[in-house]
Amino acid sequence: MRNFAQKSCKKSSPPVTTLIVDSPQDAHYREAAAEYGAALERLARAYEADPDRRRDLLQEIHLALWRSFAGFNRLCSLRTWVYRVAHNAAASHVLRERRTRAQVLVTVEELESTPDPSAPEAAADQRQSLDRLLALVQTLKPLDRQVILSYLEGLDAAAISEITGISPGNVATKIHRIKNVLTRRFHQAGCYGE
Amino acid sequence: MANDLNPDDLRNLWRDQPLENQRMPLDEIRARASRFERRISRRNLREYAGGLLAVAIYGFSIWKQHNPVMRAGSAMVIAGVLFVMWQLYRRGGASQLPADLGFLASLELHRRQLIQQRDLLRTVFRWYIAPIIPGLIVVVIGSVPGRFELRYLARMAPFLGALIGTLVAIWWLNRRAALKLERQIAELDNLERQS
Repeated sequence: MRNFAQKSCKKSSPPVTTLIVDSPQDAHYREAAAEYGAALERLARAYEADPDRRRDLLQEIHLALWRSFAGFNRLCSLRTWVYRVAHNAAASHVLRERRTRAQVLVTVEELESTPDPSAPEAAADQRQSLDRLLALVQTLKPLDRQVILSYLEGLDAAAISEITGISPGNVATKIHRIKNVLTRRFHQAGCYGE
Repeated sequence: MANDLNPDDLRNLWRDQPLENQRMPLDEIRARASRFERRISRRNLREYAGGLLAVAIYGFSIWKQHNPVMRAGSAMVIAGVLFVMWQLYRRGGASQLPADLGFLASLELHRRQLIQQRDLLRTVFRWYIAPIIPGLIVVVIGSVPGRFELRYLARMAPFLGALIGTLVAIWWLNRRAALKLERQIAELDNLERQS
């Protein structure tokens, strides 16, 4: 699919119309931005809490994506490509920021064995639940963050394995743990395990 | 229900969250990309500009000088500088990581690049400083007049001091940068161990 943009030139008479044809790189980018723009915004939100820095991160991700499409070879799906590039750009951002902000990140396994610091009633409405979910995701190390985000985006274990590069078995274990953590943190204390 | 969310509810909550719908026009992306490319080109140019300047200065010296020792020394410095530039080209060039690699693969590749850069900085004396020292020594010897006088040494002292100071500063700055990379590698190892 190719996109065409029209530019009219006022200087000459009669008016000349030039057609700007999208390169494959531009076309792939447009397609990715249209299809995964919202997912990329959610991803940026999960990697950066500060609104200004988040805007910068999102721009960085879009730039990385556009640049990457110069070498897009269709050996994997557009979705896998987009998520790999976006997660790599976001993980680099986290590593860079860690050096300046000394943030402590944990694994899903560590979260699983740690009691929830906030009371269950804190999740009084959806906004608060979302904030708590975001806070939880933002404490995770990059790889586990990729897995939980892909899970929340609705991707299956095979797709997550393709994006992260870890084995499907390992992904399945991590998802099991993620579900445990989510269930424990967002259920009323008494409902756990039901 | 909000108090009692199961993982599927949370998935829906996540995907239905309100967004700002931030978009980045292609023109802006292209402009930023070309700014980035220009920055990389300038950095690459800077890496070689010093070397090219040294080649030009000592080349001029060979052409203008009649003292054979000075000319030999200048030729040795040029050979040393060309060797250093070749080493920079061969091992130095900061390559971009392929953006589409899986996380673990890109972490591993990034780690290998950091180790390569660290080793390059650690051994800076061997491949950056040492190759030009013999030529510089010969140039200094060649510049001494037939009859050695103490006042000549005094006149040369600031020049020699600046030269030695520059070489020591290059060595020290590179060692410091190597230590910084060492810390980044340790951080990556920590991430990888727990991934």
